[in-house]
Amino acid sequence: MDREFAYSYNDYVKYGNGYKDMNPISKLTISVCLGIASCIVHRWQFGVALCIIGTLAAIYTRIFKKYIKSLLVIAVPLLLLTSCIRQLQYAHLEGNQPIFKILGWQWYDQPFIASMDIAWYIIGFSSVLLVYFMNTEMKDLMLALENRGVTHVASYIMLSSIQSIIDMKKSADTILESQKARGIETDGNIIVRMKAFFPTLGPILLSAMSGTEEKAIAMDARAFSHEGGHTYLRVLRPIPWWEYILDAIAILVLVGSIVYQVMKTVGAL
Amino acid sequence: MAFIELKNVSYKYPYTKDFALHDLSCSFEKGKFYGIIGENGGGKTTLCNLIRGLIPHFYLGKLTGECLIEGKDIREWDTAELSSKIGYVFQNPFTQISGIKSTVFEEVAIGLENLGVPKDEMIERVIDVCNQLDIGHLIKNNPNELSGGQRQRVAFASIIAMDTDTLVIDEPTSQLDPEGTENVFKIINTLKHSNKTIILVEHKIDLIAEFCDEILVMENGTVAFSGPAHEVLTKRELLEHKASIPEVARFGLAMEDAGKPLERVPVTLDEAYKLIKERGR
Ligand SMILES: Nc1ncnc2c1ncn2[C@@H]1O[C@H](COP(=O)(O)OP(=O)(O)O)[C@@H](O)[C@H]1O
Ligand SMILES: [Mg+2]
Repeated sequence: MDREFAYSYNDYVKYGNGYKDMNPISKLTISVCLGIASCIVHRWQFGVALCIIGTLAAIYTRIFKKYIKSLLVIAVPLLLLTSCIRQLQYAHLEGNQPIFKILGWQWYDQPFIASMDIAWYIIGFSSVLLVYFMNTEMKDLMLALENRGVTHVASYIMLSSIQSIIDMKKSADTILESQKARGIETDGNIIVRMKAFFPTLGPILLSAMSGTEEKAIAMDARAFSHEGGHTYLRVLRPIPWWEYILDAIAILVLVGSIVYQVMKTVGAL
Repeated sequence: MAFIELKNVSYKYPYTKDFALHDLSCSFEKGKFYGIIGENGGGKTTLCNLIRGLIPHFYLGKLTGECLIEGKDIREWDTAELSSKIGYVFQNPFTQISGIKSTVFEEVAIGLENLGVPKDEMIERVIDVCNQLDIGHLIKNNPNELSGGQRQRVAFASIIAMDTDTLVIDEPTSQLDPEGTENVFKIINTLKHSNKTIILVEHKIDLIAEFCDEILVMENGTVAFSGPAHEVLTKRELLEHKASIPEVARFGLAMEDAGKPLERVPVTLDEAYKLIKERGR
């Protein structure tokens, strides 16, 4: 047995990375506050800045490759779509300055900036959320929530739902494999795949449902509903002071962005 | 008074016509090792479910008769309280993994977390149990990606870790190869010497013969035979029933039929060896 591993549970949950080791709720607070601020401010400068922060965090936590793949899937279509739509929508806006021509299509500055504002606030928000979810284990988030008073029942429901989705995916794969073995076509265009997939839904849902009952019993055997004190094998690090400061800054940025937006709307800026 | 006492118990699962338990009476005393054998569908698992309070608290259906645990009717017991008194290892290993833990070590610790055992004690107990059950090499693995046999041992470990006075174990070796089976029986052997009350459902009759103090043979939802292990396992009537008896007992009975009886009918190999050796003198 790997005793070192066993005794590592004596320590707080530790990943050895400044970002990963932060409390899941502090991280979430920071990401969400900055993300919402990005929506409220609605300026490409803010979005780009947030995206840079997110990207740096992705590099720091060594998930850059995975992160950039997902981000590009969001960013590229979004940038193309919003900029084309805005060019068409606001082509005749007063004060438009031409900037460049693509294949004879004249683009103007104001619609271009407007489209960048939209695209980047979403990209900025996506960036921080991606980094958050790629670096945060759901069980850690639930543990943090339990520490703040969420019941272990709620936490169990949440975590086991995630696991049952994984299990369903697995049984779907198994069924598709065996269909293939029996000579039923499962690869090919979308219609072929749908035809192969729909008949599997019944058994998958049924097995997931019958599993729930037995799982409930199995959890009961582990004293799940036992009252009077629950202890934890995995314990999160107590939140250090600087995490509170980062949280506070993120909240301040959010409040600041709201104030900025209100002032702008009433015409004070 | 017996620790667990059943009197004329009948039970029907919801939406079924037939009784799963039928006019069943039996009792279990503290500190003894009970073996339950009998044909498939005979009601062994159902009896376990009842003793552990899953019937009537989880499985509704129709329950009549009396089932007393420590003198208190099963209907009045709180299942949470029962769960800390009676450990239950289920037959199906695939549904016994919680699905919320990412290492076997954490999986084995769940019951202890729920019982509120302090962390340092929890770690020691989990290490002990994992060593005992020979799953030390699996502690880092994801419990959701184990084989049936591995799951069975992990589930077994997580119940043993809870260290309840009574253990109900339903076919713990159904998914195991001979080596795994032997391992489980080593554990059962240690449990036997720990003064626990153990109720074990098992088909492998030779193992039953070796470990159990008392045996119940179940058939059609009721107890067909019961009594001290040696007495039950050498019953001629059992030969006509679907329940099997150990090969050596069969041999002993055949010797009697041939008019050359041993001093008594053996139920384990060791016993047969001694008896034959004595007679040889
Ligand atoms: N969950 C259930 N719902 C309905 N009927 C069941 C259920 N479990 C078992 N039964 C029925 O109860 C009877 C006894 O089954 P069981 O206790 O599982 O037998 P054994 O464990 O001895 O093989 C069988 O006829 C079986 O079909
Ligand atoms: Mg059974």
